[in-house]
Amino acid sequence: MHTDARCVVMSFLFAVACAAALPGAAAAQERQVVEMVAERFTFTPSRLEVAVGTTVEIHIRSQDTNHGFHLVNGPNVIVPKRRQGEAVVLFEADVPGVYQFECSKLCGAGHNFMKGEIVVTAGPAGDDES
Amino acid sequence: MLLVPVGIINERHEPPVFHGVERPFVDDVILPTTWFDAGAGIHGEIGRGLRYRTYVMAPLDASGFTADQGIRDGRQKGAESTVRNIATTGRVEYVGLPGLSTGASFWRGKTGFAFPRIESRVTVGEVDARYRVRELEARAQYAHVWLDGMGELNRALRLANQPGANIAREIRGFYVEASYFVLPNPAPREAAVFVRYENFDTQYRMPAGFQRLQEFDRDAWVVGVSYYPDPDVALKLDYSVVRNQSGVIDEPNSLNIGLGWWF
Ligand SMILES: [Cu+2]
Repeated sequence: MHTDARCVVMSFLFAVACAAALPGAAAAQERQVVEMVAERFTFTPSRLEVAVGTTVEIHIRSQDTNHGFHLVNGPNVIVPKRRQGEAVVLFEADVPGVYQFECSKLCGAGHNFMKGEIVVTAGPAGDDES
Repeated sequence: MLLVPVGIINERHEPPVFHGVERPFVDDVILPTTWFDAGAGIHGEIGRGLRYRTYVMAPLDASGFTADQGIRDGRQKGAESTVRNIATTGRVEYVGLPGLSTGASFWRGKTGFAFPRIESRVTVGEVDARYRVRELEARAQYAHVWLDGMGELNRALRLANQPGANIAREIRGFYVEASYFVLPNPAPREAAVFVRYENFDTQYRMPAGFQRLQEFDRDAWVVGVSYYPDPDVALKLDYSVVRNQSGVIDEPNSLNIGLGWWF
């Protein structure tokens, strides 16, 4: 029952294939791994800042019960209970903007506060925030 | 209905979240958990690991304040709360370093609607921290409550029906706790041992003309085990030793067993 439950959600692609038109942007995607902790009633970090062109690999572990990680208009995965594995979400930061995520598994009185965002900036990679 | 965002436990007050069969004493007689009321507010991220929430809420009712339990029985608990005065509350948290979570919070409001001629006001200030490294977790919390107008309120209560009314003008308490997970990662079942020291005084500073009751200047050691068959279920055993500063009145020690879950 408790074997590392890895929910891998592949290729969350924004269908804007204009990379080839941007000089220098078409090169191999930068990959960034983020360790995220879910706990009633927060995600930590709850705000990620990544440069356009980055592939973000978000590994989410719970400190308590089941949570959900739902990227609005994107994937929705269950985050297993404490010490029972992790959820992994891949996010392709192809278009600058702010992408909201939220807990999608009712987890108590503060569930509605359990939110965060990924900010995709047009600038160079490397200034992620935690 | 909103949970007041003050302290480590109030917003997540179910048994698997804290060690010990009972909540820390500080989260009982200094911060009156579970503390909730009608309210509305905002929350958000400032960036770099800082976040905040702030609400306006229904106030406390000073006619419920007591010498031994502070503001605890002043909670109105929503349903028919009087909102003649509005209280404000808020919390900032810093979670920017791995394993560390720190917070500071306040609550402030007029509380005297039951005695309109008495200007009474309560201000709660609180700081806390949790730190987790591998199987070790440490927690600390300090809470201080300032109560204005208690001299007058005590006199009014004594004239009414409470001859012993002796509410302080300041109360305060803190605890430090260390716990260690002895059934470590990776395991679906877990067990932790813990020890907690608490020091809490609901007669810390008195209004002019009122005597401190030393038996309410207390401290406690609590040691125990929490066993988790699942992260949402806790079977708990603890032994708690409570002392006070009065030479006359003894506090009973207690052995406690409990089963709790987050449903
Ligand atoms: Cu959740």
